[in-house]
Amino acid sequence: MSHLRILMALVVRNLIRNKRRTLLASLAVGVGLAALIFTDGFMLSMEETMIGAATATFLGDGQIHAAGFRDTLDAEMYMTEADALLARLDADPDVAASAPRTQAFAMVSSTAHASAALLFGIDPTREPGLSKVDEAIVDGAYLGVEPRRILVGRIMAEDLQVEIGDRVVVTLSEVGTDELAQAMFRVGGIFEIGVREMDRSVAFVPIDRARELLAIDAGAHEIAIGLDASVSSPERVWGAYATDRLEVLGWPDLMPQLAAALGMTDVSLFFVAMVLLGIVVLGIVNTLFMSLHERMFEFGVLRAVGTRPTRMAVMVLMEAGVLSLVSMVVGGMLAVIVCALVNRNGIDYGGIEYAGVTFQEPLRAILEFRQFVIYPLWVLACCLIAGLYPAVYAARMSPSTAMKVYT
Amino acid sequence: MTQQGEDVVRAEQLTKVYRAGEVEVAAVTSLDLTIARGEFMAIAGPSGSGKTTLLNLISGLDQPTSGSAYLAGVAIEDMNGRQLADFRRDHVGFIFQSYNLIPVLTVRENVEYVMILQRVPAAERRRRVAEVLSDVGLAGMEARRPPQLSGGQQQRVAVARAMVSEPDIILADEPTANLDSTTGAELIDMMRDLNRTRGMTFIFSTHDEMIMSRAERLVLLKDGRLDKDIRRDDSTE
Repeated sequence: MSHLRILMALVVRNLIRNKRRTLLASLAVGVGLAALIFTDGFMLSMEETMIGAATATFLGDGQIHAAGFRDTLDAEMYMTEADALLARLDADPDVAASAPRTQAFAMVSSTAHASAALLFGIDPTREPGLSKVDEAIVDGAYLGVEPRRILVGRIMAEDLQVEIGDRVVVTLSEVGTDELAQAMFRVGGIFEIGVREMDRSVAFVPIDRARELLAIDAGAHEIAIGLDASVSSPERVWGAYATDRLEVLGWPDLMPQLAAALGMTDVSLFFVAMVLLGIVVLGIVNTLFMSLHERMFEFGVLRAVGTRPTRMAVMVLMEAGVLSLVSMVVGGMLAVIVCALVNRNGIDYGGIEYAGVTFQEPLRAILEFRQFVIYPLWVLACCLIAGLYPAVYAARMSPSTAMKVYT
Repeated sequence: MTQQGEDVVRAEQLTKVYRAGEVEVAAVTSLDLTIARGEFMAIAGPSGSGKTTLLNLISGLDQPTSGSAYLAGVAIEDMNGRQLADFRRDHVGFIFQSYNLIPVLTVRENVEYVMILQRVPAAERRRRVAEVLSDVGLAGMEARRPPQLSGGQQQRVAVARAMVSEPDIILADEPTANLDSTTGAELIDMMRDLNRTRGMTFIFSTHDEMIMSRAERLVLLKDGRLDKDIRRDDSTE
């Protein structure tokens, strides 16, 4: 039996000797690890849900605009080559869907009230492949072939006191001439996307009619793009369409408040991890010191019969390592169990709006292989770091002190 | 390595002072002592007389405040922690009052532990463990663990552990304190036999009259100083 093997035998048998303490320490560390994995999975779910809600509801994964349009939302800055771009996008295997839109500030007036609106002209056939405007209709119907239909948000409908079939007048400024253009629409549908700003101040009309009102022929202010799920590097796709005259922005640039909010979740996860790992460290230090003081005389005997100080330290570190391995198994199993229980029904955040995104579905913890590799390794590292102090203590212990053999 | 009759331990003006807060306590004071290889001797004295401290100093478990201790010709106070550990491993065997075996190791593992530290080959370890366990009357108990043994048997394992690496000296600190008189007497007789047959040097720290009566030499300490040094052969003090 080599020295390392007998040290390992000492470590393992000592852990088995005090089963209750080993179990409690493993549970304490394991719960910390499970909490870490669950928090990561939950944050991941929240991120995916928020990004999904933001991009799939209306934004798209990215958008093409005339360069500078996003800074001013000036209707004069439209893309004349929209059809050519759409043809390229249709042929691109990385692009799952695309839809042209016009965008202009307008006044929507009913017989009772008037409301400022951001008027989108959308392609009724392409838009459902990219956004969920059609699924957000709570009254009436989505846009069809009839050009004089308008979709208004639920709050706007309440403000204007209009119902399905009521007439509204849209007034906007014609591109190029700045002349006022007016047109009458009938309310064809009322939508509720769940984002207060959209439900209050956005209206949709067929893009052909919007182009006529704006006098921009076949132009468009933006083309929203939905990427294929296999695309791992959106920037590469955006780069293929960006020119001096066209800018292509991904969702983090289109919704910086969401990107910032998600950045905050990463920071939150970091602090949660620090707190949990801090608890792990303290738990391990406490357990090792309890074990060390309980076996002080044995440590003294081992030192007395010739065990080198460094080997004493190695033994304590091995004990920390073995304890962390047991904790990893316990923590991993706990994480799977907790996540399975939570995921049966999810945690309902339905209707809550955060960073411009409304949660529509219950959140579930997403488990990934990396969580069961990285976090256990963190725990192992923390346990070994935590073991350094008791290890050095054991190494520097005088055998006579340990055995209290003073006369 | 010293030969039979040569000094295996030499203490010169050995002093050890402990601090207890503001108070200094001199456990051993200016003590001169030589012990020849092959001796079977006892260090006795009342509690607090410095017996265990003296054993600690001459075995390298503790460092003197002043003076020098030489074991097998090597000055102990010049060594660092690692050198002391290696030195104790190769030159000193310990027997403690309360056996102090490692409870999670088997009898075999307890006995061979020092040889593992010395990197003795496995076959040689097996041979020596079998031989020494036979010598102390524990053949066939290799796989037991200390809690499965009686006090006397545990102390025999401690003796086996102390002698298996054939050290220069075996230090026994109150080895019979936790044993009944019969078991204690058997143990001391066994060690006396090992002393005679193998020429091992035994140094006891004890209150036990039985050990004192069997020792060839009796060193009496009082207040950390050498009080009497009695040799049985010539009865000189």
